[in-house]
Amino acid sequence: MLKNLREIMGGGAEHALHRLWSDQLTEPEAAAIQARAAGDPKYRDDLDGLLAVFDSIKGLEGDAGVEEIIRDHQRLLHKRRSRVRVTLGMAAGLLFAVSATLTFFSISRGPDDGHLQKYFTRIGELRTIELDDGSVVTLNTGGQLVVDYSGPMRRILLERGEAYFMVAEAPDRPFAVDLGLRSVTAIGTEFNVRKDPQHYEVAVVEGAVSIGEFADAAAQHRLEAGWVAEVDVQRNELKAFRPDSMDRYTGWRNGMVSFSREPLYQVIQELNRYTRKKILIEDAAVMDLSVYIIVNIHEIDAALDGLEGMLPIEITRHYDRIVITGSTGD
Amino acid sequence: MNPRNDNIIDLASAQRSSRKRVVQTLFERHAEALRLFLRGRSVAPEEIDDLLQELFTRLMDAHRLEEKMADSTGSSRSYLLTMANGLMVDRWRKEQVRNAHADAVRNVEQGHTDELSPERIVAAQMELEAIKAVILDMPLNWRVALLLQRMRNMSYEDIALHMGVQVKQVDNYLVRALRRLRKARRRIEAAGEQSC
Repeated sequence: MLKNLREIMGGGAEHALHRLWSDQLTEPEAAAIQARAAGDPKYRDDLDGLLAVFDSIKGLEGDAGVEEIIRDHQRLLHKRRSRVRVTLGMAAGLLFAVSATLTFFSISRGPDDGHLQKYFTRIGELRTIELDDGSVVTLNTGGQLVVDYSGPMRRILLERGEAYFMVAEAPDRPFAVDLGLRSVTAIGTEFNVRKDPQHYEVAVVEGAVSIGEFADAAAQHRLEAGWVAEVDVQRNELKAFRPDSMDRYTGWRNGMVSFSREPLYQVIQELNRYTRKKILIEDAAVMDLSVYIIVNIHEIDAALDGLEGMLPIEITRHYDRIVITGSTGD
Repeated sequence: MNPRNDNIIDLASAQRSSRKRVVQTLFERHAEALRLFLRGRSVAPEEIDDLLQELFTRLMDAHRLEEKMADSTGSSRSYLLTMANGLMVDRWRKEQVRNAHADAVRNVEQGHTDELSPERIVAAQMELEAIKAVILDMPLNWRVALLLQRMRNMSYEDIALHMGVQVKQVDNYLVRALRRLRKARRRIEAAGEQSC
């Protein structure tokens, strides 16, 4: 990210140290840290000294005061969570049982959260997870989910991203996916769930699911195979429709995303989910160009070449971003 | 030979070979991360092999390594980077001491300053106390983020999950905590030197 590079080149040594331990450290960032340390002895000394202090902190392991900070924090966190729960409950004007579900995962997190399994995917990564009961979850790019099989229900918290669920049958153990404000309960089935900050999307491929609303426990929407439900988080509205094809919701598992006559900006928005190097459209005139393409998500570069070939656009690759503008004519 | 002794030897070598597998896996899994990290740490290409060999030896001798790897709260990547950093910090410290005492140790047998003299242990202890004081003085969120990273080897994502905030927020806490440490560094070092 450009911001990180700028901070490395212009900021204090703390930025470099912070990036060094990040899972997202990039080649240009590492090179920038090296270059700055080589050209600036004071900075080099600062960084080495800070890294030494950073290393020394390890020596505090087992220190009663330090362990207490971590433990205290756990307690504080619990208090804060219960306060949030009450406020949310009042805002909804309803049922505390409702908000208890909301905080279900966060509250049980802590030193005793051994029963929770967490899974992540990086940008561009897909991961297939086989759960203890034989259910299989595929987690799409930049996703995060938590599995809790310790209770009478099989619970998944989808924190962000998109996941495809193939649920193993177990009639006496419901399989529920929590999304925050909604939950999806499977009725022996296959379905895809996508969680964006403002938008949830549930597509049922086989069987049926029931979508529950946390603000109203009685409100359950049943969704059959072949249907897609979209939830607008801000308005808390749900609408369901039947798409011509489910490819859009299932194709990504094979690394393919298809677009049929969609505006370029939406296509790019979608491609940006799979690549760390962001693609920007810097020309309003080309934003609404209609696109029909099938993209291999592991080969975004090739897809861009394809787009450049069929649309009147020009693609410029910078070291940190890719820019699309209208073509100036051949 | 006493058969019982043979058993003991077998067990030890079995443990050793299983440890070797753990360390090898660790190296393989994080080869790319380690390479990038060393690059950012300005390690010269000709030194890398040497350093990795030393890191390997350290990990083979590391206390409770398997236990730490099995701990799901920590990230093995973060642990590995911390070990690699520790190695480089040791080298850097020795060099610092050598430079600082270049004149004083001219007559002293070489390598003397590398040893853990009682004075050096006391100095390290004083330094640690000074670091602790700086950390205790930080705003709550900064120090919690810092300690979870250091004491639990947590990745930034896990810290965010644990603290119930966005990863961006964790970045923010950590950078601020580190800045505070950078600014306090002279004071921390002075605390160590005073006792010498």
